Amino acid sequence: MIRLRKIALFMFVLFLTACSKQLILKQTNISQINVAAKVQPDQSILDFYAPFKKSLDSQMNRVVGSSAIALAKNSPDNNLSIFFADAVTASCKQRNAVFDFAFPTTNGGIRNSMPQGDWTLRNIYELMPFENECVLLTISGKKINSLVDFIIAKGGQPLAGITIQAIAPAAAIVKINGLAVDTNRTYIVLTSDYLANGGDGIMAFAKPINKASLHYKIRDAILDYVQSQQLIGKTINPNIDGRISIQQ
Amino acid sequence: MEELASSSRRSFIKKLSASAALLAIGANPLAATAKERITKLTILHTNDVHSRIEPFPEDGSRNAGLGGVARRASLIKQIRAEEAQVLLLDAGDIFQGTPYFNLYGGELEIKLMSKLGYDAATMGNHDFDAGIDGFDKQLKHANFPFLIANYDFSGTVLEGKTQPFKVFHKGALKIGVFGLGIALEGLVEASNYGQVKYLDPIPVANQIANQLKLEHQCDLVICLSHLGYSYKDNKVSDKVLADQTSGIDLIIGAHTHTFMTAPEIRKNKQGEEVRIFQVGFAGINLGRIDYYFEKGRKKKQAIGLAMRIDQQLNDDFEIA
Repeated sequence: MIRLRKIALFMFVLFLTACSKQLILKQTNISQINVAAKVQPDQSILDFYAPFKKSLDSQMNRVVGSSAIALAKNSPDNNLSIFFADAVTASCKQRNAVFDFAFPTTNGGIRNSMPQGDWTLRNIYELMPFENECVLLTISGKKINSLVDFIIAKGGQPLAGITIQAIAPAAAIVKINGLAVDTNRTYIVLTSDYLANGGDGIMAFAKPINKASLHYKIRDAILDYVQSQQLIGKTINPNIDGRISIQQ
Repeated sequence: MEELASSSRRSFIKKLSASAALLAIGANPLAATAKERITKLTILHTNDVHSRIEPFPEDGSRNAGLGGVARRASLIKQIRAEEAQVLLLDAGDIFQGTPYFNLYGGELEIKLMSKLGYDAATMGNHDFDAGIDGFDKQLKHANFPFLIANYDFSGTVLEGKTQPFKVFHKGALKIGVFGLGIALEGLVEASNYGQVKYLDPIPVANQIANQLKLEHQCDLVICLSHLGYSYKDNKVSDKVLADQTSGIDLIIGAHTHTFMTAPEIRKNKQGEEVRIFQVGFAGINLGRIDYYFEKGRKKKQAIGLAMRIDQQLNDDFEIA
């Protein structure tokens, strides 16, 4: 009897095992589809966002300036970073802000390239979509070294008023407005509230001697510069001037 | 596929000879065709779409003419018509990058994802760009869940409005999907994330993947990760996640806007394969992963033996 029960139990377990067959992964194919012009857009989706687009276009398609060349960030010393830093610098100086040099964004904060030809307000928004404001930070000259190290470690950053000739990662010739860094004085840096508040972990910006907001959006500073150039009939044409070089 | 069919038949015959008890089961499995025995699952995914509703303009720039949510909708519709089991997922940074976000605060992005039938998404750092209040405001337009396991929203407006994971039933398959977010400090402005607490993703991932595999008996575990593909320093990334966890089959990545030509296959801490895939940004590409499952008996998996609830897991972190 016990033997029979054992056999029954054995059969039951066997039956259960046979039934608990699972789905086993046999093959995985990973691919991607390029969402390009050959794909017909879904009309119902186009219709759905049409009212949003109409309102947006009416506000954003306005031409605000034009550029002689396409701007892109493709090397440490690139025309897009130079344009960005110089534009913010010019607009803040126009507002009588006093500072030694500008580091208004990290490379990661430049969100799109800029085309050759007409620039619309939409281009400016896509270059600088964030609502960040210009901030003046007063820092000790002793912190410039750490700031330069950060800039070199990141392969260069958008700068104006400061030049860095570096042989990564150690030695660097740094000049602020043409002069060697004086560790006994303080410097005023134009930057964004994002970087001033600890964004991207720039140690040199932590605990500054003074921090003052210009209550002026970085995007507006860029826009004002572009429009000012359009007003005097000039096209954007930044010069790659070797303000930063990093030899690996 | 042919290879698949013949190997499955061989293994079946092996099982048949091993156990006569199988014959007692009503249906005659020999009559089943390979096609009936194979269950297919298609995962479609995006990451870092960044408010790119319309294609990039035709302005001579690198991405000119690419992307666009209406084209993506067509592709998804077509694939859903062809495949029985489809999951559509997004790995975060839905917001920010075009004036659509500046003007409408993310409303259109979320409404369109709902229309496209997204099954789930996780949160990226830029999804905090209108603050957690701004994100909360748009949540009502989402007909899909936000999965995020390593942000603790206790005491914030988002408490109880996201979930760490979801188990999807697709045919006979159970698919566990969970989300991981990146460290917020130094990346997102403190005023935008407020009291949200970031938890170490590694112990959280181990705990959840284990739960999905063992407790929920998932056939597949997918992590929607906004950690980023890889870093020069030892910052936690998808590579680190793959190496230091077990139970995850696929990591759908984001944040670093990495265009991968092929998935990266790594070994997890149990020596099992983990795949990492990321499809650039802005909806330029739609990721597609086809899984083929076959009925059979599973070898006892190492994961069932060696998994443990990690001690590092925050005490006040509860699985909702």
